[in-house]
Amino acid sequence: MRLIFIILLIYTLIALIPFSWVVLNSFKNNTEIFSNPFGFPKQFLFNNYTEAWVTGKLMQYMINSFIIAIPTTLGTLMVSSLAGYAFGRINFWGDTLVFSIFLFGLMIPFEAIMIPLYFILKGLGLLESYAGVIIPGIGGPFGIFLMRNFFRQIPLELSDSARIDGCGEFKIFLYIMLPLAKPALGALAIFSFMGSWNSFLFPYIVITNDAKRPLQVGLLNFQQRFYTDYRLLFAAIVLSMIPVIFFYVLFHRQFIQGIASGALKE
Amino acid sequence: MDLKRKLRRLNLWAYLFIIPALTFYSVFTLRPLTQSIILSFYDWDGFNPVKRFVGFANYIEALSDPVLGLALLNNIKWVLISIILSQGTALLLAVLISRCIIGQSFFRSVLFFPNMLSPMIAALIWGRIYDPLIGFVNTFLKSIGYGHLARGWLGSPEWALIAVCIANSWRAYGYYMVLYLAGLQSVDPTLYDAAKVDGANGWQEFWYVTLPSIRPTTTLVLSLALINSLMTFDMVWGMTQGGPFHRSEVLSTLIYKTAFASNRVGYGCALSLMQAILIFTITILFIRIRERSEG
Amino acid sequence: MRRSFKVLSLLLVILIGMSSISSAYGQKVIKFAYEGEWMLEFFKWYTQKNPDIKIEASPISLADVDTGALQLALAGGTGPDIMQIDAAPGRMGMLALAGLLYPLDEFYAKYGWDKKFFPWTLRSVTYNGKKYGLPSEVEYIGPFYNKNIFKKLGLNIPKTYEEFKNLLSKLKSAGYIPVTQGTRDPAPRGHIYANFIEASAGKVRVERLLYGNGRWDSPEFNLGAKELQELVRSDLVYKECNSLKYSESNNLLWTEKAAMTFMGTWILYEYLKEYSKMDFGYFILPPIGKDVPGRFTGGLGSGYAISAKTKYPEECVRILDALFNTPEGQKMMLTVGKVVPPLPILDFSKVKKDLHPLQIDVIQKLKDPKGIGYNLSVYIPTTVKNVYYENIQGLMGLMISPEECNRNIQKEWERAKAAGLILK
Repeated sequence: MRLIFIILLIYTLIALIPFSWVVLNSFKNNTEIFSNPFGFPKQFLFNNYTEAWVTGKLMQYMINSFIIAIPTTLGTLMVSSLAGYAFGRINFWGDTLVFSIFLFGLMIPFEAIMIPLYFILKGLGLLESYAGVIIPGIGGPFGIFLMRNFFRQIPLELSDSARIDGCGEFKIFLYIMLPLAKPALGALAIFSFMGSWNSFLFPYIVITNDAKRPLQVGLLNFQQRFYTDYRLLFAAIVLSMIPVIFFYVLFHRQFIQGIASGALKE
Repeated sequence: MDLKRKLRRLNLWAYLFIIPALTFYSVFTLRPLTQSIILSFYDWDGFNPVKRFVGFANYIEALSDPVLGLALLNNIKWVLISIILSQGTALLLAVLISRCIIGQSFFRSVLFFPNMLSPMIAALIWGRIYDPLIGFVNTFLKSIGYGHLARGWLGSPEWALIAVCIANSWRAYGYYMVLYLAGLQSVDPTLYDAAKVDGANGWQEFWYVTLPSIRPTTTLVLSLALINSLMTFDMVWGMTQGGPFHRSEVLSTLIYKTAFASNRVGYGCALSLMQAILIFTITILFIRIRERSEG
Repeated sequence: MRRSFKVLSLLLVILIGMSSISSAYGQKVIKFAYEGEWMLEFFKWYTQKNPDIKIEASPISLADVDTGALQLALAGGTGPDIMQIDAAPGRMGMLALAGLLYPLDEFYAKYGWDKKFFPWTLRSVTYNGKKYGLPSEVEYIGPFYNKNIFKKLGLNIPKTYEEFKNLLSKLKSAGYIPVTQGTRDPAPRGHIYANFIEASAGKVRVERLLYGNGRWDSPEFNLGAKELQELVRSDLVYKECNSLKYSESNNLLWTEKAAMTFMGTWILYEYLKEYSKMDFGYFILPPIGKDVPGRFTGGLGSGYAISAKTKYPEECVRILDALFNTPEGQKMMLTVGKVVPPLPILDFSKVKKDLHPLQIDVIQKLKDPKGIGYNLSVYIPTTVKNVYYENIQGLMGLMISPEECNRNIQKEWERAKAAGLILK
């Protein structure tokens, strides 16, 4: 037992130290970052954070990231739970085939669809808009897969007895299945939010208007063509992690429960 | 009468549940994919109104490109290294956490943390770790007397790919660890009791009870890992961009450079379709092999 | 409480109404994609003087052109009216040829620009005989060195290549990295390579290559590549340079672990912002070839271009004229942006006192009759440039021979020529 703890602690250090180093350096000035990278800052320059926040327009970028990430997550939850329920509990004609088509999507690299997707968005008038980033981000195969697995494990008696009572299919889904699915939804919410918050390439090409750009793209501003302001960049990175961590903490219990209940069991 | 019952048994109403997902997926994934297939037969720079039809020329050119072979080899190296570092760590930690009596929640969250960082940020952090003069790796090597091993890792022809793969494993293992944890939860605890009665030690328990019980999970997770390894892009691009001189080139970086940095959309589409077919083939093969040997 | 709330909301409505009315009445909105933070000050000054213009500024980066995002926006009409982009065939040239930029020859005549801008700077904004942009800042590239380290070791500016090599050896023995270069990033590879090509082949031969029938794998070019590789091999150019990004390499400079780097004058911005107390300067890399005088290489970093689809071409031109052609605009370029504009400085004697000695040095070196050589990266099309960058990294990583490096670039150059990508 003690051995287990020691190993886990070692890995904990490995997991946390790199980012702690960023936090440490975010309080130094540029010269110190390079002359004294591992030591404690001589002075804690808290103004790095205020400066990064203001000159980096972090509030604007964060709000944009939220405007994109939250609808994406909600949309994914709704769409995936609907489809996952059908795949997981209903035997319908063509279910294997259609599900395989979704699975196939997991294997398509982004570059394969990037340019045509851009033009489709253009045709729909969705370029330079939040919707242009949100809508294609919904309906990912992973979410459907996750929800399907979860729904498969709920005992059949539950839905059968509801049906016998005369409950309509959609009502069964909405009032019985969905509440039971909170753990899996929690897990999907975290993965979905993180994926959206951390994504860079797709928002980058869809939105060139700086006012609407999300955070990961905004961080580029600290890395200009011929000059990188490291102290501001590090401060901005730390600030950018706060919403993610907060979101994780928020859904943490459902996430764990989702894992515990075997949402991802085969 | 009979027909009506047959139709009802088909449960076609289920499609109402599927339609939202299917719509999003068709419009934003399937349709671009088919267009990509079409584009792969053209020569196009992405914004010129005129496209030039070239048939299979793009594919032929791709197959004769030596860098493509190099990139493919690098992806395979990546798969192998990832299995050891990323999967191995993920499974090990998942097993250890699941055996923890106290602190499970703490370790689960904390060990998941690296996966919360975006690839850009992780690339930045590890770029500093690998710095030739003041980076952690070289400073550490010098301090334990192995300074002669110190080098510029990300500029080294032999080590660049491995270095990036290590960085990526650090960022990615958390995701797989969570998946393994899920699988481990469904292992029948009575099997462990039986094993203890038989006098099995920790390792035997793991090998003869745990692993076989989570076989479906392992297949799933390894498939995902396989797909992600063949598609890997973000960390490589952020750290070396495929350099130095193609030594850390992977399929995705090659495609990105061709299609976007060189404005050859048709060629890029051809390459990425070849990549998609490769991923599909290898993954299906892997799953088939696993299912067959399940006995 | 309720009454003040009503008053406030009424006020708010009126204010909103007024602002929207004002924008409906004659305020022209011009979208400006800019590159340096200092430009925001210029925008403020200009819109104060010209209240009928509203400038919507948004930052632009190289990646916008490289990923095709800018082209797509311009073609679709949602792009910027004025944009700051690389005055290079691979960037501005590409947009010009695709018909996305507004030809400016009439404005050059009207505003007298053709008599003002240094003639050699106009080449980079001229594509197929027409001018599509304004050269934004003059930059030259050469060895950027730490004067204090040199003084400490009693080193003088080398006049011959032999002296240069000896100088590097002395620096190495004293424990410094003689030359650092951030070749994990693409651009620094070109900076050092082009300097060596200039030193071995010279401006005339480079011109023959770019605009005539010269070859990359000619003996003079191979000589430059070979010398560069030899320096890396003997660690006189830091042999781990391929693992350093541009900013990491610069920090070796600022922390005095390295003595010099091949750097362009855009470094003035960073230097004056953070390290102006240190003493740095430029010297010209001594010639390697026999009939070569030795020059800085240069080219233009960015230039300004106007979208072909803009609604207000004349207004855009007026903004740019205010930037380059007025004493106030130039002063802002020099003192706030720390860039040197590519035309004679109006009121130089007045502005001089606000400039750092290094800036004055740069301005004066530009008047050198020998002129400036070519920073090759800026003058070659994108497909060639990618091969160029990849091979130079291979060269400096001791992975391929100089002949092979140049041969590979030549191959791609010929392919680009056949595809009509080489511009005159």
